[in-house]
Amino acid sequence: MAELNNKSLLNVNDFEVSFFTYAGEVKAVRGVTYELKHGEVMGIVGESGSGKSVSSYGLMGIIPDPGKIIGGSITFDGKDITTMPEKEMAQIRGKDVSMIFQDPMTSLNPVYTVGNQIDESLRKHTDLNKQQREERIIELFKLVGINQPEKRMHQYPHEFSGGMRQRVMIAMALACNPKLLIADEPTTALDVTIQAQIIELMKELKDKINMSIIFITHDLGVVSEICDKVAVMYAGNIVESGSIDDIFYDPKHPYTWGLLKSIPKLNAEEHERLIPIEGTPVDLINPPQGCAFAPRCEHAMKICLTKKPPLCHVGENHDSLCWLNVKEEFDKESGK
Amino acid sequence: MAKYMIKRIVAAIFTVFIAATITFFLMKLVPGSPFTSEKTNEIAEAALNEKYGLDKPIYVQYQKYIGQLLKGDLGISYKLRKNVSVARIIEDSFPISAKLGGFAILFAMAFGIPLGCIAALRRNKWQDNVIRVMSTAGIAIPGFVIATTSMLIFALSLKWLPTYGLDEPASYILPVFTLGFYPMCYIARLLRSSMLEAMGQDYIRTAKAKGMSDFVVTFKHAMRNSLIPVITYLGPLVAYTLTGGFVVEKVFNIPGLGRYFIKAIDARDYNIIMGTTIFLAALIIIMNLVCDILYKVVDPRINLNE
Amino acid sequence: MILNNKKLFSTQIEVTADDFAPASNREKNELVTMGENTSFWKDAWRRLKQNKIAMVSLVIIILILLFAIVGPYLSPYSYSQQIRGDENLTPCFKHPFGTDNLGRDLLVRTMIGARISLLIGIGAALLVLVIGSIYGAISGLLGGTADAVMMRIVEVIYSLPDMLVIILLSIVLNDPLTAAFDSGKALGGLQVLGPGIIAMFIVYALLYWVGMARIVRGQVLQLKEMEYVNAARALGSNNARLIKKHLLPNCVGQLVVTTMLQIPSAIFTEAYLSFLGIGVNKPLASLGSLASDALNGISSYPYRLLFPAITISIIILAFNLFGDGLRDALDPKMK
Repeated sequence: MAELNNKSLLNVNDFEVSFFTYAGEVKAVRGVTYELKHGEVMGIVGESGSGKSVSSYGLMGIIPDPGKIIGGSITFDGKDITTMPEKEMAQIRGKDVSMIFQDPMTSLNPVYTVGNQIDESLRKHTDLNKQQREERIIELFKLVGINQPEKRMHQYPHEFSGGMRQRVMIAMALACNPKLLIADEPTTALDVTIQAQIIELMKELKDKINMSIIFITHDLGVVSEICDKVAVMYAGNIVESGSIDDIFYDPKHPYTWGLLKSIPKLNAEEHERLIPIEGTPVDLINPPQGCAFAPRCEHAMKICLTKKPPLCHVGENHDSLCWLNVKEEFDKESGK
Repeated sequence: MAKYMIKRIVAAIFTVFIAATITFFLMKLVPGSPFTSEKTNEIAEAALNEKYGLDKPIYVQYQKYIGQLLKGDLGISYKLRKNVSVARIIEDSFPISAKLGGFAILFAMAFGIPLGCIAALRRNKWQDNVIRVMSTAGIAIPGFVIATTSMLIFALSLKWLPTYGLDEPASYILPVFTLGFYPMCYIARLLRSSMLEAMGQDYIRTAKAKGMSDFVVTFKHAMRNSLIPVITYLGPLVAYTLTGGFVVEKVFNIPGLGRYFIKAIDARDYNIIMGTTIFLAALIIIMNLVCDILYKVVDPRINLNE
Repeated sequence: MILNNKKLFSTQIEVTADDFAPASNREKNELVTMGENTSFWKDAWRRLKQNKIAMVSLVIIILILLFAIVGPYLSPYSYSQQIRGDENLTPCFKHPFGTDNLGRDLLVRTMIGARISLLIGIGAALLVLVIGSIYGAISGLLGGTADAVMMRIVEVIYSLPDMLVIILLSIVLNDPLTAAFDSGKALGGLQVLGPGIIAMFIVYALLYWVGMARIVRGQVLQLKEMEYVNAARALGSNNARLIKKHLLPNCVGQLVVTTMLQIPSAIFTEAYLSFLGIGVNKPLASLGSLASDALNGISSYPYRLLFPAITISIIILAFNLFGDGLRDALDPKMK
């Protein structure tokens, strides 16, 4: 593990993003708060539509149309990037914060060579000359495990397999030694064996390079392999956050319980079935006034339907957004 | 590359051959001959038919025609310009049509591409709205309407431009504009939508995430990809300017190939109709071929060796 | 009771024991139905209604249909009636669009012209839809060599210059069709249209379906793929819903839009041909032939050109815009 220090690199505070569509305002991210330290690896877990990707696009200032930041702040390296002018933001993007995307098949421009696409970033953010840049690309390719870098860098994306393209994407993201790397489901679109290779590569890189990583995924198994801490997102909120141990061994939120139950186990008995979480995610145009998970929650109580749950500090650096935690305290108090 | 080219060229020749065959048999379906009219009697007609080999069985005529075609001989005009070879007629009149069509294509590209770009970049702003209204109207108004109304306004009422012919440089303005207006609007629409589509692609997000400026994102990453549909439109564009030219040549009374073609239709001059059709078909098919190859050059994803 | 555990909560929380009673399934479901997804078609219709341009186009299309279908019955004149003494009139109360050199009322002729144009547009579009769907579906379902051969044919047809073939066919078919019309009554009222129009339909049937065939084939192949996924995911109950909710609307939507946009393109072609003098037979008029006729006296009677020209432009524009709106409504991500 990279050495941790206590200086915080990133502070996201009550961050809100909405998409203004013809059907109405889709509240994709509804007040997200977290902190990330130098060298720390955080996993953000949740199903599609939970706002996990959108909240991280906010960090890059590349929220797609018609999305808008409507509240909160993001402090990166001491500066608020939500209010930063576009020109200054462009200096940070790709240099201090970089990103790997879900689908390597479509994330590279098909009509330019991969070398060209990495070179572009180096040209913009560094003072290296042409030869140095080429050397840097070769170095990066070696780092991410692409053979024959001198030849490969002059090839087009379609000449690479999915896994290799994701390696190119990683090389591209690492090109300018970023302080923060956002990996948006980097393994979802890949075959299982390739997934394992990419995870292995990311683990190696994490140890080699001292950078913070936000790892977005819907796969808790992947999280347990490389993250230091986890935030579980549901319907635009972080419903539970804590260390790997907290989340895996002492989860406090019913949604996290559901996620953990739905992880396939390799040593599972033949009859032990994967338990999916019943129901479909909520409509984010009209989010329920109570807890967004309540309609799917088997532990739902009357209050869950009408009132938003409070944030409960259930342990050191372990928070949960659930009325059950309140009930526990209530039972304790009234039992006295 | 070479293998692909050969394959495409063979396919193109095959298509030209099919077009020629269809044309030939279609023409033979017509009852009567070019010499049927009230003035000639049956004996004279038979003599003429014999002279031109029109009395032979159809497969013999077909064989003969294809044989001549391979030698580049398109036969001679029976009626319109008696005994002048069709090749000669095409040689005389096609350069006029080609010049007109060429200018129209240049005009369409020179205005259509920037307009499409502006519309996409200024999406939903007034520039976009103006361009969209104009180009939507432009593809809905038939060529003859534009040709006739613009002639009515600029030549007949205002008398700024000549009404017909191609005698002076100014007389090119109206025909080129009317012929190029539809493709210009089409290109603008095509480029706008393909550019907007390209802007929504994942690789644009990647480029933005790398900190690339809007300029680089637009003109390096989006532009090249969104020009691909415009290149594929080049083939149909040539076909359009050639056939659309018929109307423009009729309205402005321009002595191009189109006007000959229409006259030949009225006069039932088979060889001219056939010769012109095959010539134009071949031209269009060749342009499609060029277009295809160009397309593969711009888009490296397509493997030319396959 | 007020809970005030500073270590656990950031704020005070007031709760009662009732709050923690389990919620019933009914209560939970009520929350969900609040944001229930509407069906695909309802959703599309709602989007279409919101699209002002498309709705205006729809109204215009309806008005034009009335103009073309009902209009001629309301007119005191027929399209071929030559009114003595009313030759070459400019637009006036008696003849709002004026008359031509034979004394025919141009309003009723424009109505008939619009009727012919719409008939051709809709007829050709349906023809293309039927032939293209059948061919594409067969090709996609058979697969293998048959599919390859059928698609090869499509490619050849695709690369034939269509306008030239249309012109050729209309000329060629003119005489045999006229002969057929003269000899028997089997073809019913078709001879009114004249061989030019019939030839156009034939060309559409022969050439224009290839685009539609490609779309349908693509959809069928996708459907086959889906069935395969179906089998693989035998457990899932979601697949029926997948086909109903995604594949079918995708396919139907695309067919509707392509057919809709085929209408103006057919009208366009007809006008072009009629303008060149190879469309409808006289005395019947189409908008293209009216414009073509007007060309002779264009400097003296410009309105003879303007009325049919404006009518045809409005028809094509309205269909194009409505088709675009329909596409946006059926496929919101295409916008």
